[in-house]
Amino acid sequence: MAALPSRPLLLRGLAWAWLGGLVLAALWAWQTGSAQPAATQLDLSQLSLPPSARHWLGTDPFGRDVLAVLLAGTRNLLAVSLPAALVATALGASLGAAAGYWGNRGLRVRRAAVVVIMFSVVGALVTGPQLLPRWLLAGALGATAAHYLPLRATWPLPLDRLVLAAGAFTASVPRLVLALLLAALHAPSKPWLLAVLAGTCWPPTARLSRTLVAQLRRQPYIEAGRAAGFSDWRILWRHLLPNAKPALRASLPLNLTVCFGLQTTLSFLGIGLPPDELDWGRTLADARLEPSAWWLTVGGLFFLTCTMAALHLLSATDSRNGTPHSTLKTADQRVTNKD
Amino acid sequence: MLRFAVVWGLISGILGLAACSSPATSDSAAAPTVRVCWPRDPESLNPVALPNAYAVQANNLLYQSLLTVDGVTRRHVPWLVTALPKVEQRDSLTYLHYRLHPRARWDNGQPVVARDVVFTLKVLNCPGLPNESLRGLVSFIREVQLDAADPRRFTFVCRGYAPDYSFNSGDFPILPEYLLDAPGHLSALSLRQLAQPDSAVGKLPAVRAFQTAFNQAARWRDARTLRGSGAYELASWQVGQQVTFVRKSHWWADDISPKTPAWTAQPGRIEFHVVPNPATALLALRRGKLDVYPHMPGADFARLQTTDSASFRFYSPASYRVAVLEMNVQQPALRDARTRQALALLVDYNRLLRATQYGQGQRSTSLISPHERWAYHDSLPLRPYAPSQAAELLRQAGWQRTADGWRHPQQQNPLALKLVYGAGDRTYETIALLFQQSARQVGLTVTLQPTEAGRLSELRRNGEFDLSLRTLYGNPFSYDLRPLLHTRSIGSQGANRSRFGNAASDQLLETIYATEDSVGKARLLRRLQTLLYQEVPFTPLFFEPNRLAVSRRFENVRPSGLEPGYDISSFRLAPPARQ
Amino acid sequence: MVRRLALRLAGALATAWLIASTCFLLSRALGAGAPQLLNDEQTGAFDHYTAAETQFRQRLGLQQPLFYFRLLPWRWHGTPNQYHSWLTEALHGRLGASFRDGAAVETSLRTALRVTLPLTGSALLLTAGLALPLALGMARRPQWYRRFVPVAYLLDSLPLFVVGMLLLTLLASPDFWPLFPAYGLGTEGAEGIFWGNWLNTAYYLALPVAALVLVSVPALALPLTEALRAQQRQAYVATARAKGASARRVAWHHLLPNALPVFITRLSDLVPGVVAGSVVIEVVFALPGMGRLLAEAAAARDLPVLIGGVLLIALSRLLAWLVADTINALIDPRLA
Repeated sequence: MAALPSRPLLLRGLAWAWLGGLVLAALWAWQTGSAQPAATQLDLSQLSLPPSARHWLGTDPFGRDVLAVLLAGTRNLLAVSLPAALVATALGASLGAAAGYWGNRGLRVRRAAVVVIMFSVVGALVTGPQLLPRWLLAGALGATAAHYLPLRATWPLPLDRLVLAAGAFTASVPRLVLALLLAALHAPSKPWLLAVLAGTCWPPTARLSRTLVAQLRRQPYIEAGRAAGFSDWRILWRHLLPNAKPALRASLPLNLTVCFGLQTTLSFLGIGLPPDELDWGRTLADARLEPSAWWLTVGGLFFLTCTMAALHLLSATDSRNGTPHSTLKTADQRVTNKD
Repeated sequence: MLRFAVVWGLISGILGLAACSSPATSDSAAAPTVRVCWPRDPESLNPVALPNAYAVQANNLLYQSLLTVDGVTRRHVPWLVTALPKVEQRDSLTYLHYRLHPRARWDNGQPVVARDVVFTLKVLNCPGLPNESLRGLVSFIREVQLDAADPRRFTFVCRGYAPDYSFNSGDFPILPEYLLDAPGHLSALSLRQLAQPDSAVGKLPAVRAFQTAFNQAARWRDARTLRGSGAYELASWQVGQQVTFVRKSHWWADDISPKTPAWTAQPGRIEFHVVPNPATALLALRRGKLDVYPHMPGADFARLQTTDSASFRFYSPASYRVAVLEMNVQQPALRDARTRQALALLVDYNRLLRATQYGQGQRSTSLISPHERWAYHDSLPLRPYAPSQAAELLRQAGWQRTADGWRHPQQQNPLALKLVYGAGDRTYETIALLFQQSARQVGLTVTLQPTEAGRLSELRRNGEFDLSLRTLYGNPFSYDLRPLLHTRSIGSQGANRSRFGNAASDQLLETIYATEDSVGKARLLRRLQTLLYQEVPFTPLFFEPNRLAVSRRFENVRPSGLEPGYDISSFRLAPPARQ
Repeated sequence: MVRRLALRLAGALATAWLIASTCFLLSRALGAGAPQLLNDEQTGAFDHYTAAETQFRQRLGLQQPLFYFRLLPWRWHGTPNQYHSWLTEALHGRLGASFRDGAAVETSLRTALRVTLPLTGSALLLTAGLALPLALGMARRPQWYRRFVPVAYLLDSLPLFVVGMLLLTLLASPDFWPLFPAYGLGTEGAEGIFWGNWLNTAYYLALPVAALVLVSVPALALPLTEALRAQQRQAYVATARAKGASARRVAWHHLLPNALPVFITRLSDLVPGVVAGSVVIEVVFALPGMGRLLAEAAAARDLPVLIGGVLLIALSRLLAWLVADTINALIDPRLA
């Protein structure tokens, strides 16, 4: 196992600089807001021109400057793909950690509370929709009351099984088909896209986090913490998650790649964001309209690759500081354990 | 090293094989093979279903109707009959007299007779078959009278009178009874019985038996049962990939002389290749894997003209498809005609035409093509692009420009419009972006909402939009605009998506439909065009051209503005000198 | 072991049924999911529009109640309902008839699979075949690792259609090197793909398979490399080397068996993709596979085809997981 070269400082600096530049570009795009910047105005006399002194990266099939479009597109990258990747990672990490920590038997719920909640849900469904809020309110109150009753009988909550089933559920319908179906229900908008991306990307992270936590849980220091009477939350939050963090952080760029890829493909299939919402995926998808316009592909790919490279570099070097590969390894190995 | 050698051997073997195998099409000079590019599969070849234009085109190779349209002359011509129908009006009924061509034969050698026409109408009216869209089109035919002396003569008895009857009555494919109903399930039933709405006829055992036999999907993929009196038969259909037709060795119209274009069938083999991605289709065309590329995207057409004009001929006859910006007149903000007029002035028509149609296409003042000189209202001026005039009109309509947009004293919110259109359509996208940009110049907010087709159709039906981009499909024959503009076609009852109309306009549409003499009809149509011009339920953007690229190997393409835009049966190999 | 396996198999089947049922009910309960006879281009005959739509819905059986009962508020419908007839048919192995052309859904799926399986299956095999030696090489040679990892990340971040279009433009366009066919399968008059004609098929599938392989190799090779590198640091490797085992022997006999579960798990994640096909590649290369079938079915609201496809893909995903777990348990009993 050779040592890694000692030039990461320069690379890391470059990576940080690139990401910082993107954030600046996004801020610029935000600040100009809905008033379209002059550079991204449609100019029908300049359709699909190759790079020149005036348009460094050429113009797209709508006569807009590709560089300006890409810079303005960072806004949607930061407003949609990045939050979606963050949400997917957070959702996956927390669901997976809960499933891994408590398993199928660890978390128990009051029988009385479950009965009350079930009763109110069935009641809400059977009666008309106008009574729905009342039933839900009654259910919540009843469940709280049941908590204080002397009925101490509990049922185990099969958390692990539930999370895995939900993961299997989302993973079984192909993402694109799901997106097509959802597009039929609601016109694509930013919150919609964010929800679709986050809702379909979380299962791999959940599986990773679940196996990590399940394994760490059996480490002696966690057992000691439990023996010392620490609460579950404290153990999870203060002891387990910090140890699982490097691996989870490494999964963020992967999720971002997936989110971004899906967003781009939706643009390609014509069900992405509206055309006045600029994003990189759309620029790449426009290249299909004008196959001879290589500058569209080159420009889009340059931005995309640099960003992905920077993210991978930063997450990889970060994870190396802590408990690097042993965590990743065990994670990946334990992923195989069971679904 | 050895490994590399093996790999190279394999690769060169594959390439070598491909090189020998690729252009092995059997092209005889008399009956050439024509390869056409289609963006999608026809989905069904069932002659009563015809779900899309490609299915219609394929069906016209297999089956024949009584009349057909000659694209170049834009006229109906006889196809299975000897002449156009003789029209006779008696009382409140119309009688259309036809005589089938004496040579017309099915593939079993039996002549096509009036009995087959009656059978076809029964099939089109039979409940439980996928004939819903065709059924409405032939519902005016109440009865068919046969001639005792001549089995080829028959008369359609039609309710009321409309000039459109004469060609609508010849517009459906005639089906062979011997193939589709050998046991004669339908022969005991009359046409009138089958055509009754909501009758119990669908439950009769004979009808049930017929439905089961007819609705077998395999029947409409099998060349033995999927055949009519047309010149071609199905050779193969690989769904989503390729549909191939081959010329029958002997077709009944081969013996006719003099030959009209409708009775010619030159190509020996017609292949329709399904290529959904336009860029891929363009590559395939340039590599000589395809011969005909109809409905080309404007940009590809312009590019191909500069790169490959040596190997292709280019045609762009004006079509009857008009792109319009439709406005929902029942939306509170758009109720005032002046507001709608203002919006129509915010479209930069000329730049739009240049950007999306690359210099082709034609502007119009209404949904009637300027090529139809007799009906087109040419004294109306083409609307200019005039943002300042638009702002003035908005002011006249009671809107006041404020810091947060245009406000109306009687409206709660400032004027903000939602423009919906089919997602993924590049032309619409350009139009929408341009319109949004010009609206912003006068301080008007337009939100773009590209929408998936099914959802879009629902939004339009329910009137949940302000503006929408749409293409209207017209033809030079029928001026029945009631499905588009009548108040009875609003919502889920028809295609009037702008929800425009009042008693007077309905009356006008009905009169236009019923008027036969062309002078009177032209006068009424001009009145309608003036009305639409003032009321602006939509503003016409342009008539699209039918962009078509055909390999120089072929001649006699007969391009036309009518679907499919070329006459594939007339294609001939060009003599080598002219290639 | 067998009992456990049978239990898990039953669980997988039940999950697949649940997924398909949910999709069935959701797609039909929502207004936007209803198929329409006349699209926006077709105006229909005046005064016959509503009648035509009603007849259309009646023919497809959509006027029946959807489920045994409805909620919000409760109402009992009883057995003649859409879900019941679908379920009864499904229990007999029939998935209904397409709304578009009345063809049996199984037939459509089978036809599409005949194109998709050779495409995605060979892509998967090639990916696995490339990823394994690549990962071993990278684990053994740090300079390979340094060079390949950035390339892998680059490939991983490329959208599939960009790779497809690039390959098409470079290797199938008359402007560059027209070495490969641009579209289709080149099977004149043949249904699907003929194995007797495999050389021709391989030629036509070369570019699409290459695009798929390029994009998916990193996803398989990178985790395996990490796992192998982690194993290398374990004590038993040093022991094996000290005993005089060659580097190759260590890699194949010691490292790989220990890192294999990672590989198999990742591979099992890719299996449903084999059945689902790839819409993008199928659109770009004009191949009539599962991806396009499902996308077109979704666009046309051909619900039986769509639900059939979802059921098939869900089953393949669950079974792939099951098989992967079983194999892993056989390789490494600790994982059982």
